[in-house]
This record gives sequence, C-alpha cells and structure tokens, in this order.
Amino acid sequence: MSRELSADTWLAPARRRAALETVLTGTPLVLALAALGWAVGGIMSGLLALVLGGAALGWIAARIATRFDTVWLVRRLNAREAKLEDSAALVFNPATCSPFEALQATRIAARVAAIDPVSLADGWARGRIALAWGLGLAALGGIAVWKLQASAPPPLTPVADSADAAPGAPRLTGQRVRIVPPAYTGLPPRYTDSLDIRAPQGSRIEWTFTFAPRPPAAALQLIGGQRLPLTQGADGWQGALRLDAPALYRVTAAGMRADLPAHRLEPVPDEPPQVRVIEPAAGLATMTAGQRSWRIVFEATDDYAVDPLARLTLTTAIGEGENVRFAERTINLRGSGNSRRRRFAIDLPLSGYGLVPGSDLVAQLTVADTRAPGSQVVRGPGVILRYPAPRQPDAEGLDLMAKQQMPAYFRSQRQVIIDTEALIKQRKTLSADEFMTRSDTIGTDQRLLRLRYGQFVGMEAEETPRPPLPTSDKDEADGPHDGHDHYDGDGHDHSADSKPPVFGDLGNVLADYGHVHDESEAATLLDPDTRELLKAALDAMWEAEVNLRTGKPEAALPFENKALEYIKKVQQATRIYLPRIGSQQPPIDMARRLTGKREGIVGAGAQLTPFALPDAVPATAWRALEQPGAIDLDGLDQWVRANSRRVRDPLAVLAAIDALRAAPSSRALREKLRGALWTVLTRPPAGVRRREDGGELGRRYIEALR
Amino acid sequence: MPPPETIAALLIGAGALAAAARMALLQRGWMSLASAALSLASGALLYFTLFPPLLPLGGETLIIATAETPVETRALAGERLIALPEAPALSSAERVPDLATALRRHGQAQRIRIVGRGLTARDRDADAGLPTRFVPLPIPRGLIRLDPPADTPTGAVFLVGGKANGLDGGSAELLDPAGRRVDERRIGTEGSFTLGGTARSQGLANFTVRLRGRDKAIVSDTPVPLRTVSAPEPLRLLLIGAPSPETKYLRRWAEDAGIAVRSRLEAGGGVDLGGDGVRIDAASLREADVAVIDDHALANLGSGARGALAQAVAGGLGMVVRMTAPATSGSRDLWRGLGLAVEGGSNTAPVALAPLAPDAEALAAQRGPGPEDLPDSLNTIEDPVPELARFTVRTGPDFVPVVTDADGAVLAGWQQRGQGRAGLWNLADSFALVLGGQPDRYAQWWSTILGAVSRPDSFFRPELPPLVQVGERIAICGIGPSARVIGPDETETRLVIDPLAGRGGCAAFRPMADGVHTIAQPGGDAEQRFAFPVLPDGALATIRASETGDATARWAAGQGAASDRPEQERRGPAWPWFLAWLALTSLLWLAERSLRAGRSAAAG
Repeated sequence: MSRELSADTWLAPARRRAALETVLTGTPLVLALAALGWAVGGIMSGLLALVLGGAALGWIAARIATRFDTVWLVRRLNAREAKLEDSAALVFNPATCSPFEALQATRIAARVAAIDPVSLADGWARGRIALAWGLGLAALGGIAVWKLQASAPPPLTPVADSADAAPGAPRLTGQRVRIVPPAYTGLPPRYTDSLDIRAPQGSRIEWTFTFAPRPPAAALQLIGGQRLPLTQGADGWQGALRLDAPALYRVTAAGMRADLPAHRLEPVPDEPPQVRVIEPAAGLATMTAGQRSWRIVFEATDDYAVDPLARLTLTTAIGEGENVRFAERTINLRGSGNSRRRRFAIDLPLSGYGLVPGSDLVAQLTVADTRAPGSQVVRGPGVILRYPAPRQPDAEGLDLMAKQQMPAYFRSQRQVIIDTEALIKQRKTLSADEFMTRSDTIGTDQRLLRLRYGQFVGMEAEETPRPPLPTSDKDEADGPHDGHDHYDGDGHDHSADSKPPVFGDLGNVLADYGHVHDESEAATLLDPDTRELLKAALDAMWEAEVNLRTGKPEAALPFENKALEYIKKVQQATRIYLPRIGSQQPPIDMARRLTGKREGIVGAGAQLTPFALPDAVPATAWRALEQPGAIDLDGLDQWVRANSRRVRDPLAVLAAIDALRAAPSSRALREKLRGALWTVLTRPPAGVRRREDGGELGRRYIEALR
Repeated sequence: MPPPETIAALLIGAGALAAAARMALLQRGWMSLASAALSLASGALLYFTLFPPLLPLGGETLIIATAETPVETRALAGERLIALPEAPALSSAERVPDLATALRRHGQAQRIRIVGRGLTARDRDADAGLPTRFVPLPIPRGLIRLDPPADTPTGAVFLVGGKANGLDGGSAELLDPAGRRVDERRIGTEGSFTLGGTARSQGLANFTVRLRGRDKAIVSDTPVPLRTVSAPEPLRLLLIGAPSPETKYLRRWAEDAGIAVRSRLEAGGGVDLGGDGVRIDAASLREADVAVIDDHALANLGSGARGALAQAVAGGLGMVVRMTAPATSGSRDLWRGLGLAVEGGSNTAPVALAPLAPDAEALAAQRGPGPEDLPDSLNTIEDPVPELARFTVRTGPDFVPVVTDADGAVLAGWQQRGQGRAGLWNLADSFALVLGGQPDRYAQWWSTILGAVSRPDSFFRPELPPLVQVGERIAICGIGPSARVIGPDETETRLVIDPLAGRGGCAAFRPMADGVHTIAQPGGDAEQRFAFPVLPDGALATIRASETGDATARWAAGQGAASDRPEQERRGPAWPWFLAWLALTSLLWLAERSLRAGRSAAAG
C-alpha cells in the first residue's frame, strides 16, 4: 500500500488552486487590455487582445502549477504534520530502497494516506484577487467612460456676434454640423464647424443650432428652394437633409430681422472607377513563338471602393482580310489589394482560343464601383495580343503593305491570271473539251470579279452571270487544279459550299459564287480619277472574259494583266468617300433640261443658320452691372439654375446674386457678382473691329507717305 | 594778353627778389638773411592781398528726402536737409511742397543729393540747374513693369506683358475676374513674362496678375483692366473665291462674329453660289470694308475689275489675298499691282502651332462654358494638333506680319497702299484648324488679319495712360472742349483743355477715387462715352517705385550735364592778407632801418 501512494493525488488540489488563483488574478488585466484594444483599434483588435491575453494567462497558470512538485509536497507534508517524522520524502521517493527506509516509508505512508490532500493547498489569496478585480473593473469603467465621451457629439461651436443684430432679435449663438456619408463609401461620420458643407453625394447632413434669445421657430431656407423647419431638441434646434444637389442655404429664425449670410451645400459626386493596364506595357503585344500563356494585369482605382469582382472580356479575331471571325467570351476575375486600388491579374492559357497566324486576342476589363444604388460600371482600355502573320513570300517593299491591307477580292485578279497561266501550261495534257470547260470556268471567275468591281462604279448587272456548264468530268478536273493555291479567306473560297447549279435557280449568283462585301445601298463612291481607272480595269476584264469564254486563254492573258495593273493603281488611290446617308437629289427641271441655259441655277445661295449666344441673359447682366442701375436678378437666378450643368461653379454665382439681392446698391457686391458672372459667359467667336484712322493727322501722314 | 594775376605775380616776384637780393647784399649776418626772407614773404602776402585765394563760400548741398528715405538721415556741415511731401517724418528737416520751392528758398545751394526712392513726376518736369547726385535704392521685389492688354475685340485673345524682379524660378499667373487661373508662365532669370487670355462680351473686366515666388507663396496681386470693344456697326466683308471648305468655314465664322458678309463664290461657267449677286466694281467695293479673295479668283478677274480693286485698296479698302496654290511669277506680278510685293511662295513648310493653354484647367477657363450638348471630351488639350502648311513667302521691309506661328514664320501680313492695306494669307487650308478642334484659333487668326487691314474708321477713343492710379495726375488727350469725367459716385468733373499742350486736345485730370470713370462729351447724334478704370492707391506700388527710380536716375544724369548756374568763383576777403602784409612789411621796414643804422654806424 505504501508504495501506491502517488504524489499527484496530493499535488493536484494545490496545483488546481494555484492555477485558478492565477487565472482569477490575471483575468481583469486581460479584460482591461481587450477593452482597450477594442476602444482603440476596433472589435478585431479587441478580440485579438482577448485571445492573446487568455493564452498568455493560461500559459502562466500552467507554469505556476508545475512549480508544485514532489519536493514541495514533501516539504509541505513534513511542515504540516509532525507525525510524519520528517520522513515524507521516503514515501514519495521510490529510489530509496534500504529495508529500514522501506519500513519507515510504509509506516509513514499509512499516515499520509489519512491526510486530506485538499488541506495541503494554500488558502485563497482573497485580498489579491479582490484587488485585481477592483483595479480591473476600475480600468474597464475608465475605458467605457472615455469611449462614451469620445462618441458623444462635440459641444456647439460658438458663433461670433454679428454686429448688426437688432436688440431683442434672436441671434445664432451655436452651431454644429454632422455629416454622415453614405454607407458604401466606408467613411466615418464627422463633425464640422463650418456651415459651408462639402460632402460626398448622398450624405446625410444634420444641423444643430442654438439661438439667444430662444425664437419660437427656426428653419433652414434653401435659397430658391424648399424651407426645412428645425425642431427643438435637447441640444438645440435640429434639422437634417440628404445632400443630393448643390444649393445655398441660410439659417433663419422667427423674429430675426437681418438675413444671415448664405452658405454652400456642395455634394462631391462619386467618380467612376479608372482602369489602367499594368501588364503588358504596350497596348499591342506580339505573341512570341511557343508562347503558352499571356499575363495581363489591370489596376482599377476608385474614390471609395472598387468591386472586387470584375469581368474580363476576351475577343478573338481569327482570320485574315475580310474573312475574320469574331468570338467573345468573358471570365470573372477577383481583384486583390486594398478596396480603393485593386489589381486584377490573370495568366491566360492560350491553347483554348485556336489562334492562328494573323489573329488577334483582345482583352478588356469591365469593373464596377460599390456605389449604392446603381454602381458605376466602366469598361477599361483593351490590350491586344497579336499572333504575327507570316510574311507573304511573293511580296516585297510597299507591295507587302498594300497586299496585307487590301480586301480579298482585290487579289482575285491575280488569281485569275495564275489560273490562266496554269491552264496554258497544261494545255497539252488536257482534252479540247476539258480545256474549254476550264477556260470557261476561269471566264466565269473573271466575270464575277468584273461584276463585283462594276458595283463600285454603279454598273448594274446587265445579265445574271451564267455558271460554268455542268459537266460530268468537272469534279475530276479539280485534281489538276492543284496549281491554284486557293486557300481559306482569299475571297475565292466559293466552291466549298456551292451547290450544283440548278437550271433556273440563278437568282442569287453573287451570294452563291461571290461574297457580298458591302451593302449595295451603301455603294462605295470613288473620286473621278479612281473611277476612270476602275472603268479601264473593267474594260480589260471584259475583253479577258470574252477570250476566256471562247477558249483563248493566251489572248486573255494580256487583258488580265492590264486589269491587274489598273486595280493596283486603284489600290493606291487613297481617297474613298463613303456616303453615310442616302443622297436626296432635287427633281429634274424638265423645262430647263438640255437647253444649256445657266441663269438662275442657284437660287438664294447658301443660307447659314444664325448663331445665337446661349448666354444672352448673363451677358446682359454683365454689361448692366458695369453701370449703376437695377438688374434683373431673378431672371439671372433662373438662368443660372437652368444652366447649372454648363457652369463650373453655379453656387458661387448664386451666392453672389443672393448677396446682391440683400444690398442692391453695394458697389463691392456688384463687382463680385460681375466677376462671378465671368465664368458663366461664353466666349463668342473672335470679332473684328475696324482699325482707327488716326484722325486728321493720321490721314495726312499716310498721304504724305506716298 | 596774360591774365592780371600772372602779370602781378611776375612784377611782385621780381620786386621781392630784387629787394631780397639787396637785403642779402647789404650786410653779412643772419639779420640780413632773415630780412631777405621777410621781403620774399612780404611779396607773397602782397600778391594774396591783391588776389585772395578761392574759398568754398556759400557752397551748400541740398539733401532732398523723397519716399522711403531712411529716418536717421541727417544733414552734415555744409548740407541742408529738405523733405518733399512723400518723405517720411524726419527730424530737423525742412518740409517743402515741391522741389522748385526748395530751390527758390535756397538760392545759394550748389549741389543736390537725392536720397530715397526718387522724385515724382511733379518734380521732374523742370531742370533744377544744379549738379545732382542720386543713388537709386535697390529695385523692389515684385512686379516692376506691367503692359496691360490693348483694346480687344469681343472673344479675341489678349496679351499681358510684365516683368518681375527677384522672382527667378517663381511663376506669373493671370486670373480672370472670377479668380480662376487662365494662364501661367514660369519666370526666368530675366524676369519678363507674357500671359494670354480671352475676352468675352463688350465692357471692362478686371483681371489680376498674380506673382508667386519659388516656394509658390503669393508675392503680389496686381489688377489688370481689360477693355473689350465691339464694332459700333458690323464690318462689311466681301468674300470672293471658289466654293471650298475655306470659304465655308470663313463664312461660318464671319456670320457668327457678327460680320456682314457678302460672298461671290464662282462655281465656274458664270454660276455664283454666293447668292448675293456681288459685282466687283468701284461702287460695290466702296460698300465693303474688307475683301478676301483667293489667288485663283484674283487671277481670273478681268482687268477692269482688278483695276477697280486696286483703286479701292488705295482708297482705303482692306484686301486679303488668300493663297490656295503655290505662287507663280504671274501671280506675284498680279499682287504687286495691288501693292503687295512678296517673293517666293512656291514651296510649302509645316506650321508650328503653340499649345492653346498650359493645361486643361486653363483651357477650360479660356473657353468658358460651352453649349450643353457639347461633350467635355471634345477638343481636349490632349487632342493631336492639326497639321497645317504655309507657303514660304519672302517679304520686304514694308510688309507687316500680323499672324505668325510658334516659330515666328509669317502666316499673314499686310502692306500699306494709299489709304488702304493689301494683306496676304499664306496659310494653306487653314480650315483644318476648325476640323482639327481649334476653331477658336481659326477665328482668332482671321480676326487679327481682318482687323489689321480693314477700312479705317474714326471713333471716340480718348488717349490716356493705360494704368491709372488714384491720386496720380494724368493727361487725357483727344477730347472735345466740353468733355467731362463722371466718377464712380456720379460726380462730374469738367475737363479743361490746356491750350499750351498742343493741338491734341489734352486736359489734366487727377482721379480721387478708385472705380470706373467715364469720359463723356456730346458728339454726333448721341453722347460719346468712354469708360476707364482707376486702380486703388498702392495697386501699382512696386511698378511706380521702379519707374520713379529709373526716371530720377535719368533726370539726375541730365542735371549734371547741363548746369545753367555756373560755379561762382568767389575770392575770399583781402583784409587779413593786407594786415599780415602790413605787419610783415612794418617789421621789414624796422629791420632795414636797424640794418642801415648799423651799417652807417659801422661806416661812420
């Protein structure tokens, strides 16, 4: 039995009590620290302080509890119980094994077992715990008082005595303005001393005024607008308003004789967010060989907060010339960084877009701010990733530029020539019928091309073009055509999906065989020189077509080349005028037609709409203010209100008008209004004044010069 | 003949020498040597008795204390301290109303020394006639020169020039009447600057030139009045040429600017698209103030019409030849016949355009509010500058350039011919300015050239200094005998024309209050009025101080050169010399007597 005595049984109560005591003593300190953290740094820092303090306290308590070990127990038992004969160490020290010691240990162990372990623990340090809690509560109370005082409204700002207050009339003695910005801005409410208020749009403005002596009623008078009655509250006369439009206001109280000066209410509008491209550095990036992904970084800034979720629009433009296919897809991006300046970054994998040489990938970011209601959405600048097109093998110098810029149908004349040359080369290997058929096919191509160009000069399709004759061996004949390097997007890829021609179904040849590259209503108009060139090209094409149709490709070739030459010249013509609206021709005067008379061709001449200055009202007032006299202030006031969007700072003008209305004869105020009106005046077109003749003397001087 | 002094000196010298020799030979011994010396001294004293030496008698220096004189200034011996009204309170100074009074009171004064800032215009009118010394005080820091804008047509650009002292690295700003910044320039080491703004409607406006130091602190605010004028009756413009964008935009601007336009737009084959039925003959040209004609239309005019045009220009009509194509020798000959002698013009060169404003805010302030439907993003300061070309003409000394580009190349100018002026517009396709977003510049340039060449007119425009300050006497010229000035408080002052001031009709006026004054005089059918602003006292303090110092230094330099009061060389009194001579001569006489007595005793 003796040996079963475990030290822990006797230590546990003491340890528990010591730990509990430490916790009880330390808790007020931790609570006070947490409260201080909350008061200074908000709820999060308060919680943080609480957790950290608790952990530290727990650790200290554990450390203190471990101080109670066997040595302590032996010392305590020996000190407490004389009957243990100072031999408690033998019981709790298993290393001692001499028989005599063992006997003594057994004896003592029985006595030890009779002792209540709880009695070994120290008594509660009541005084210490009470002191700690007292101090802690006092600290908490202090923090609470401080916090309450800080959040209480500041006292009213005393107002300087206005000199001209009549005796007995109420005077404004104190004022306070509280500005509560809308919640989405994240700005804290603030107090201001000044009555001129500039705050975010949508803020709630709360006024408190005191008057002496107390008036029966008081109000805020918005100049030219509503009247906002003030209510008597605990602090004084109170009123509130939502700040949406700029205005001037004035504090009035019943019985007040003189008007107090007007003050400004100026909302600061929420600016839409701004988007900037950080990466790539240039708007146009070129894809490098083997590039797998593309990194784009946008930065969006806003005056309050940028919505963390933005949309990235990716547009692919795949293809060349006019045969470009567009596809658009969007990706949602989540921004990082602080709420006013967020970064949106993405590594775009390029494999999924099917980019081929010559195609573009355009990325644009659409961000929104957090304005409520109605967030402002802004589409940022686009960045382009270009897959460089391969160099044209047969192009050099300026030709290269011209070729890449021209639409596909301008290249087709060259294709006709290549086809013809190939046909001439293969003449010996082909049967006469086959040769005829292929020549006719090329002729059809040439014809379609001619009709196509003919549209530019307003030539009507004089007949529907006939397709090549359906022959049984046409499909086989396509084999030797391999010399013709038709490829997608060259403007010549009509054979792919063209159905076998059906007799009588020839209505929409152009759609079947050609490409409608523009609207026929908006036919391109060319300047006269280009028209001439184009007509010459059409004539050459016509000759070529005739020869091809009759199976004489050799004879056609010179005309084809000539047509190509003209078309090249057309390409170089820079001016192409596109009418955006249909022209309205005047009716033809049949009586005058073909007479050669020119009298009265032009009627009254071109009449210009007279110019009217939009600022007749302020300009008149501006001139009138130069001389003493009455001014139409109401008309001016109305004009400024009606045109407040055009005017930079309408409040300044309105304030000047209002000040002058109170004292119409004051020269200084008239000058002030005149100055303020300058910003309202539109600059008229620069006028001309005749030069001065210098009087009699000047005239004589000029005469003497001769 | 030698002057009497020389003759007397020679005679006395000879006599004294002879006497001394005799004395020395009379007897050996120190007595005779001393007597010889005494006789020489006696001769010298005799000479001084006859011609007493010059003494600085009555050569008093007047110290004239002006504004900013140091308070501790004192008069030394031979000096007299005189305080002019501008001077601060000085102890022991004699206060005089002006410099002339001081000179009259102190006729014995020989020299003048001016201390302080310098003499005002009141005292510089007449010469003092005394050598004058003046060391100017250092030039004050701030604005020391201000060239206010000339009379500006409505909507046109105006320029303000100025010079600042001690503000190297600072900036000069032009503020409009509402206090917004219109233009800003950095001030260099030299200190000069030019600011530009745009006028609005007719009337007087108060701009402000604000100087800032290197640390952006405001140094001074100086008011600059701007007078915007409009033509009393619309200018009559004759537009001759082919229908073209240029004529279109020229017509548009002219109609907007209130010019009465008649146009003749030849579409070929005798078709006139102008619709005004304008004929080019003497009667029609007499009805016009300016004719703008393109070079092609000018070449196609008949000789009669061209002769009428040349005659009309000589009679006062303004004409602008608008170049549309490179000049040929034939076209230059044609222009020469109209009084426009230029060479070259067959090549073109690009035009360098200065930026419209230093920044977007200033541009907005210059333009003023636009129409409501005009988006803000239109014609911003970042927009590319339109590319323009000019025909490179070489002009003679008689040619006056009025429109130049940023590099100073001529874009338009004129040459006098008789009473009229023949102008040349060698800017090709200037309408590109309108299409390129700078219609204001287009209007400004055409306004400048048309204003320069138009038929002259006479109107009521009294001449007076451009900047008038309270309490400063000014001369108002070009007025009639019954003109009067109406002050800002409706008080009227009759202007009395000074018959001695020449034929210009000049009267003096001293404004006593600041504000807008109006000169009014009956004339024609209505009263002629002319308003001018009077700036408050001290508004131009640094400018006036600098001007006063300069003018006083010039005035003082002129005084030393031509002094009409020649130095009076006064001899000192002769009697002390006479007494000395008498005493010496008596001594000599006694000595000679004793010598002779001694000798006769020795002999006897």
